[in-house]
Amino acid sequence: MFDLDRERARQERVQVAVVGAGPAGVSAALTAARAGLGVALIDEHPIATDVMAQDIPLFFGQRMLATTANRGLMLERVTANNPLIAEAVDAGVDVKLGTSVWSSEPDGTLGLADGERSWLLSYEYGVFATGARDLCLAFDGWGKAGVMGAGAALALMDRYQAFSGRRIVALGAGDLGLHVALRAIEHGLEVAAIVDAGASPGARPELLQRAEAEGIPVYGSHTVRRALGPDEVEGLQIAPVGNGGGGTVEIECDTVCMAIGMAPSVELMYWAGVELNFEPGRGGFAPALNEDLRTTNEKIYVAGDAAGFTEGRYVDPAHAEEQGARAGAAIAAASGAASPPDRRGDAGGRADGAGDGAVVDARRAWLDSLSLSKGADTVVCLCEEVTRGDVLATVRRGAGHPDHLKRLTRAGMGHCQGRRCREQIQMIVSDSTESALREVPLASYRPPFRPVPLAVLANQDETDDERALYEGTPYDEIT
Amino acid sequence: MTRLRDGADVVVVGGGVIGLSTAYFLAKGGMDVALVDRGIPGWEASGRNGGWAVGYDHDDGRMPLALKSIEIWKTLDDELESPTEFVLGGSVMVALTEMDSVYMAHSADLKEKWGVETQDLDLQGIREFLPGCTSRALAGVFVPESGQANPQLTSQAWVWGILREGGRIHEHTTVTGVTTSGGRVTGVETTSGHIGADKVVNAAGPYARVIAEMVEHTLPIEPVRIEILCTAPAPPMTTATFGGMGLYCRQAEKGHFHFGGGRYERMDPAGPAHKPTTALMTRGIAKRFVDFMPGLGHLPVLRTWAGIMDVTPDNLPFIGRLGHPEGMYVNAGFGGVGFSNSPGAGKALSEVILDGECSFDISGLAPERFGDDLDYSPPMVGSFRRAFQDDELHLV
Repeated sequence: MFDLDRERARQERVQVAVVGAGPAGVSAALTAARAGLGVALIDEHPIATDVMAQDIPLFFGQRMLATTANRGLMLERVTANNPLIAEAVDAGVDVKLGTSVWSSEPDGTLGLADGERSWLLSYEYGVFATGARDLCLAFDGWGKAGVMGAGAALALMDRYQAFSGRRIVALGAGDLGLHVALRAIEHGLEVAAIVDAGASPGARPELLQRAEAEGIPVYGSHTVRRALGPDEVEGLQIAPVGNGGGGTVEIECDTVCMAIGMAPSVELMYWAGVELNFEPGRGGFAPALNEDLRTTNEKIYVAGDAAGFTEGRYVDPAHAEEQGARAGAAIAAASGAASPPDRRGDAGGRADGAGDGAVVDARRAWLDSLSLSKGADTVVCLCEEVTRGDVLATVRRGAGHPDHLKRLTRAGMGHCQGRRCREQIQMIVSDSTESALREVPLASYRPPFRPVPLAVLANQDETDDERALYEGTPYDEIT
Repeated sequence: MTRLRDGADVVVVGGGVIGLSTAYFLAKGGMDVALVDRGIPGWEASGRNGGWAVGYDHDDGRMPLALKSIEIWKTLDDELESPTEFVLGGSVMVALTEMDSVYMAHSADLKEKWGVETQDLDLQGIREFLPGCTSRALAGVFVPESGQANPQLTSQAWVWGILREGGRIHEHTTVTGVTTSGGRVTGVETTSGHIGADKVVNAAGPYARVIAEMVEHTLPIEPVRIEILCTAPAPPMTTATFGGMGLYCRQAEKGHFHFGGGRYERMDPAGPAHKPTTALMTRGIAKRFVDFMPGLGHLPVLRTWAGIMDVTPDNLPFIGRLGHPEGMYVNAGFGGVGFSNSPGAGKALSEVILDGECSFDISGLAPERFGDDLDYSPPMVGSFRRAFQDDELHLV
């Protein structure tokens, strides 16, 4: 028989598992470790080049240099770029870099893999500081090498120092777009333009002033017509919004960086049974949190961009650090390792950004502008080559649930695991069924949440008892 | 035929492939059909299985059903006017242990008896189909008249077929009772109200037992959970379904490998309708597949899913009419072969209802073959293996 308890007894165990070693995660790990708890800090960076090539977990757009294959070098750079990791090691945190989390069950079991082997780890308390992933919108030519996301561009430029683009156009004139453009300038790259569908840039004044000082042209009320070039991006054609085709401008570039927005990375929470709600002010589906940043699964806390994405916070880590510390302190209190934190003045997670629809409104402006120039033939799901027309036709036939659409069109079933088409499909369903975005259900996530090779995923340490469970199975009885 | 308001000739309970196929053939036969599903048709195991459409069986009692099913599968796209991605690619079974070999020999006898064409394969022959197969393979057999299909598209194709034939489908409607009068079925109570009908088909799969209890009938069916993995697409290797190491595998149209099996978990019939995949089982299946097909160990796994099967004590389904109440029918208990046998199963019960009897032999699948006073111990994982571990084969 299947003895879960006995098998779980053999798993690696830890008091606190923190997933994600960004500002929120490291801060949570340090706080919990300093309170005397045993902490494991798990981070997938450096990510293997072939995973990046599949645009997982960010939209890398084939703009990574070959040096990303040098795992040792990348480990050094990832560590050097984040000095707090060394601090966490000194504080006794078990830091697991280059380790991805591919499963996350409600009972507190994580499936981990490091490129060579996989294993299970169970925790008493989890902090999911899993960040945010790039939001993508389809336009003509968006599948060409060189179209990418802002999160991926920043990771390649800063964490990996392995960004292969030379001349970029940023889509989006919010804090995110300006930030990525200015980081590119600091890395010695050219920024050919910043384009925004809205009339006035949403970024904070100091970023706009710096962009102006750098002489970066900003095209407001412009949208993308197409990415130019045979396979690689060689330029971008843009046009004024709502101008029916006139007034196009062609900009020479090798990289188009979508900085339209990001969405909280919630797949581990989803699988662990955490309540998620669509919250426009938090960048999409985000976890329901109490004032301690605890989710509806009492073992699990969420901090940083994973708790709610806004462009302003993304470019300024202070808020994420504060949240990480808050989650770490709450766990220390809950486990009895420390007295309850003083919460005077703390804003609850639920209240963060509440009433601020701007994050999603900006996306809307982009989608509406793009739909003027794109037809039914625009490929929405790049992996499975599903067009907007395919999706619309299937919705009209009665499949209004994203999971139903996925089953019938395969949109979202491809190698990027639906990361590039998820929000677009939500918006297409919302538009064509005239329902609000929040009424479109969350398309399900399925493990493994990172693509793990079979040979790595396989349980190579199985016991004789486990092996016996499989022997003599009547394989023909199941089809 | 008397009808209550909003009634139908027949209510089919359960929108898995068995219920869908039954409803389709009944509607096509001229009946006014209402199908009710507590969720969305094809949403559970019917859309989550391995996609085998096998043209043979390993049990004498089920063989006619398999033969009828493959006959229907071959023209199903035209029949339903929707794609199922059915491919008649054949089936390759590989023996990796002495026990597999004995089992394979037993299966060969059955195939011969029923005239199923087979080709024996040695390692080289196996590798012509499966280049990544382990050199530990002892023997193999290829059956050309066998196929595979896309479970999700197939479920949807049945749905559209039913609607085309004038049937009605009530989604998100749970049956809470079966109404009777004077020993005859009069309809079903549902969360959306009463649907009058003088015939009710229990096609509720793993939960058919719960529906049966509503008419005080004990249907020995237990829910058993299994999991499936799906890899990233790979270059075309084979269109044949293939099995070995306790796994059932296929390469789907887009190049993804789908495989599962090997380990089961018993579920509570009254418990939740679904339980997600677990890292433990996922890793066990991956281990089996890499042992079986080491040449594919580099492929990344993209997705996993789990489904719940309806398992019976003898691994054979229940197809037919209940003695009491009059008008109550059952089509359930297919275990792991439900998707494969769904065309024949629907055809069989529709013939029983429309014509009074089935045109092919389903005599071994009678709903009350265990009798009334069933001293029934729920099937364990082990009893799911019974079919080839029982007295007949002496394999243990």
